[in-house]
Amino acid sequence: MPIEPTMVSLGFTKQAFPAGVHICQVFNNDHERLDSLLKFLQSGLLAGERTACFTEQPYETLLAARLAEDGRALDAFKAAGALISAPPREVYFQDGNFDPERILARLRRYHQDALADGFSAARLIGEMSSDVLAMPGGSRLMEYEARVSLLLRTHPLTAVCQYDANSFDGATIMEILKVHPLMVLRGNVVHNPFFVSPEAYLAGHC
Amino acid sequence: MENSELDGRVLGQLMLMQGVAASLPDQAIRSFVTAGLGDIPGVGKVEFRARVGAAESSTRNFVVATDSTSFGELVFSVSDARVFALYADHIENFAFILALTMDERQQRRKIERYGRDLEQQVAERTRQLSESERRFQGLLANVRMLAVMLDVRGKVTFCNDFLLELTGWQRSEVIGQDWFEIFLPEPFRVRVRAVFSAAMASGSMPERFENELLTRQGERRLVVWDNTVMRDGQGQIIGTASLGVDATERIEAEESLAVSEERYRSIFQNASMGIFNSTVQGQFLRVNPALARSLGYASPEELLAAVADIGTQLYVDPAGRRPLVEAAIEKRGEWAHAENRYRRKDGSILIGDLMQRTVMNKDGTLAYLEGFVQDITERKVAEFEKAEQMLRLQELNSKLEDVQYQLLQSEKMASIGQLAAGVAHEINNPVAFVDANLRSLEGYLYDVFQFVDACQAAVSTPESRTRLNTLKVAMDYDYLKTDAFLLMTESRDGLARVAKIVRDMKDFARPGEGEWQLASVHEGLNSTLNIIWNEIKYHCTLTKRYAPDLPLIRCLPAQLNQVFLNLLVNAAHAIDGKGEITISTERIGDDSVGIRIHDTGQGIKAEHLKRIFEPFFTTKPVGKGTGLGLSIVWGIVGKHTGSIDVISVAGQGTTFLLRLPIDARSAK
Repeated sequence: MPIEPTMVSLGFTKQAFPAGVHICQVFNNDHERLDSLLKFLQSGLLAGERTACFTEQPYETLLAARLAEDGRALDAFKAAGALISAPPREVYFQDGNFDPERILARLRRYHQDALADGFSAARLIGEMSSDVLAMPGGSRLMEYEARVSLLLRTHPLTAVCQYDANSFDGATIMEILKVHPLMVLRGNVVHNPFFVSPEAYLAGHC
Repeated sequence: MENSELDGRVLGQLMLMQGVAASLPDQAIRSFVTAGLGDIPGVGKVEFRARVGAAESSTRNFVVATDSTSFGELVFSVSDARVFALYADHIENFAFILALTMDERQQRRKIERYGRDLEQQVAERTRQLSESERRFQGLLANVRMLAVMLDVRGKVTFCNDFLLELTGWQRSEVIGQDWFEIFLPEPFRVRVRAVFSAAMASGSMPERFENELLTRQGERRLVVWDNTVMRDGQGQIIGTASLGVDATERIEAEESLAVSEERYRSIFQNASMGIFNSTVQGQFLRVNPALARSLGYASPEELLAAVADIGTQLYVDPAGRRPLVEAAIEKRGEWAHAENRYRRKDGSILIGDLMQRTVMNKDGTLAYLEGFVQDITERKVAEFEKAEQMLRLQELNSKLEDVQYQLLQSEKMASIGQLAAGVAHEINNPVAFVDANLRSLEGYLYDVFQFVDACQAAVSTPESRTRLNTLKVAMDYDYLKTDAFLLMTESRDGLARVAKIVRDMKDFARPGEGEWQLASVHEGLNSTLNIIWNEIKYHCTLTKRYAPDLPLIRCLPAQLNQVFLNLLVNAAHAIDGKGEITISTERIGDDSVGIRIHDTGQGIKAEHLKRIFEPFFTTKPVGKGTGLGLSIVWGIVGKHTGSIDVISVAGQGTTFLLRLPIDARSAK
């Protein structure tokens, strides 16, 4: 008997998606980035998911304000281990290089721990800096993203990858689209016609 | 899927690219779409060229342009024309939509830029307006001017603090009230309201208006207003704005100043004393008629035109002005006073009593000099003449004293002479018979001693001879015999000295008669020198400077010799050790000769000078002089109607100056 996938709200769209979707958001300004980030975190916390946020930008004050509107305290979520914050450089560029295996292992463990800790699901949102392209291992960015898609099949972690349109050239953005099955377009999550299955992508590029 | 069929996914990609491209930054759009379009079946490579060019056989070009703007073209390298043909229309649509997107972005950026510029301009204008309003409000609040705004009915809509302070009203008492009723005194109210009403009807108002303003206490202030008619944004008249200056004190001050200036002008024009303003450098700025007159000019204008440099043209001493100006500057506004001599137009001298001071500007710099010149020429001339008269009087007085002294001296001499003559006469007779008696007595003594010696020789007995010898020894007969004759000789010498004194006294009182004759002064001097040469030759150097043309003079030669003798002996005695005696003669005018006897001796003390011609006055040791020598000289010179002067400095020598007439008889 097939197991019905858990449906989750991403917060920034009324659509519901099965847990474990891999979404990219190419944002053009900070408001766009922060609005999606806060809504995604807020909806995850309120849904009882463990949420992780990898960003250099401050957001907790704003998130606390939004949660307060719902009568919830950010500190309580943090105390319960529901919100994990880390700067992207610690997550993605540990030891000064970009190591997809290490990051994937960490994501795997994150998901496992969330479930083990009693959370209904786990989600993460992270901003990938363009610094990655100059980083040792940076050329494996698209490989990493393709392998995330593979990981999410077994560890249905709902993931949103944020890319700054002002930091990447157009061709790279096109490549980013190819390794994300869903993308946020003007506040809506759309299926990406440029998406290439991770197996095909990895076969064609690695 | 067969390549001959249209792939819907590709159409989805085209649509997605349109959506994504719209949200990408400009620099990312071209590379994004060329990368995406490269995945279309039948396409090898895609380029986005900025300029539209001719298509090649292997390419298909799609212009990215709107009706108004071209953004270049998409150039597709077609690998399969048949397959590509399926998507060509969609690509063309994509290119146009992309052009619209880019054009829209361009227009949006322009609008945003315009908006930003406009916002900046509005912000700047708003800031300027706020600043202007703030300054205006601050100005109105602090300025010592009256500010008031009226609406078209003449109601007060605004007034500043100074207006309230000046009039004594509270703001709440006047805002909304009729301006004319509150502030205009009765006589002006109707007239000013009429002017205001006319302004509200016509839109023009007198820019400058002067009227009295009534304070709460009923005091009237004279205010000069600057008025502006105010309009709203549609140009409708909404009232007036006026700024006023309280001119009450100023006008009173101006009137007072005018009176003061008139007084000053009157003083300046009519003063008898010269008044001027000048630069430090020496140019007149203003002069009054009195100064012009004093300096000999017909008018102040003529003086101003003629004198370009006060120092060089007016000062007798051109360098004298500078120290006077410096003295005035030094005194910093205080009067500096000096007497000065000026040259009049005709060259004559004006003596002026000058008072001048500096006048400073408000910033402390020197503006000009102002001063007064009092003509004191007549007073100074009178003072000079008075001083000269005083000097002449002093000289006359001195001469009178000299004459008085000489007269006194002469009278004293005459008295002493009379006395001396009497005494000499009285002494002369006893001296004569004492002398005769002494001569007789000496003869008698001789005879007595002859007789005694003869008696001794005649004694024959030894006893008698012994007794006689014993007696002679006891009496010291031999000494007695010798000393008796010595005593006689000394007595006769003493008597001879007494006789000489008596003779000198007689000579002083009534010098010897002798005979008047022409004689040479030089011969007299030389013969006298021969007599006393032994007295002076050992310690004196004698210098004779005889005038070659000295005439013979009529005189009593023996008595003149006595004069020369006395003076030369005194000169010799005045010299201790070695010294010099100089005798010089000269002709004085047509009728006199001068004899000058100078010694380098000890000189005569000042306190003795007036007494040296008195009889018996001597500074010589006792026995060395009788004190009659110079008194005899005085008498003889007087007899010759001559004069004798003495110049002596203690320690430096003495000079006797004799002046004798060539013909004493005519001089008499």
